[in-house]
Amino acid sequence: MGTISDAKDIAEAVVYLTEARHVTGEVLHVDGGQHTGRW
Amino acid sequence: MLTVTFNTSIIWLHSDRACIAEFSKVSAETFDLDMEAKKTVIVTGASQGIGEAVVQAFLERGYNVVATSRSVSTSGLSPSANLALVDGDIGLAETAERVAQAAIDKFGSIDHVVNNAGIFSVKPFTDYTVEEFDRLVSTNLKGFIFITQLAVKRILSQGTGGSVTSITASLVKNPIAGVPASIPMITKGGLNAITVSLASEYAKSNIRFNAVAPGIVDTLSTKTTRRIS
Repeated sequence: MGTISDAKDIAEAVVYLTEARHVTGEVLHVDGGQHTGRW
Repeated sequence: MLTVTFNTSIIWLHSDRACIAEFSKVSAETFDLDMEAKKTVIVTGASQGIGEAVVQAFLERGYNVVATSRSVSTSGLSPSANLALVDGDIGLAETAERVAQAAIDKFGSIDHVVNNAGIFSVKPFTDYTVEEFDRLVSTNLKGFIFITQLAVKRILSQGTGGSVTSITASLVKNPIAGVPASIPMITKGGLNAITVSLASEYAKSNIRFNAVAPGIVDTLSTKTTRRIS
């Protein structure tokens, strides 16, 4: 948390959303907490 | 097979009806997955950084991948039985058509799209020019719209369901004063908005729309790691 992400962190989230058969309309933040304003 | 073994052991330990019901459900799903043909995913902006990592992740999981960017054929990716490369500007309808056609010609379907292609710049709001705004709209918005329209049409005709996942930006929700990116965020915020709109419009057709919002991503470290490994 509070660190710079690796491209793989983002790719894993993309794979999750591609395969999550009941998840739609979501914006998933994968940013080490940046969107919470903590850093 | 692993799933079946795992769930069987649960039944031995707790042989009640709930667990047996769970076992049946999981087995059926596992069976369906085994029986399905490989899925095809289109990845834009695929030649480097997040796009390249997404392509590798899907290849490792057994997907067919159509990777596109302006110069993907000269990137580190090599075409193979599971990977097609299409060069072009994704902000042009003509490129989107060639990408969709490549997926259908080579793999026979379009099942998923990852809209990763995007451009970004940091400067004070008053310094952005009309030309820069047009470039942002072309890649970030037209680059989403054209390929997504073609994919949705194809998925509807297949009747298979599918998904569209777009890369947006954490800065939409939490801007940082030291990283001013107001005009790029019109486009990224727009992608967040259309993700929700389309999720609603196509839920009944089983086409899902989601977005991943990264913060600062070190794309160089990924390349370095790959070279070492």
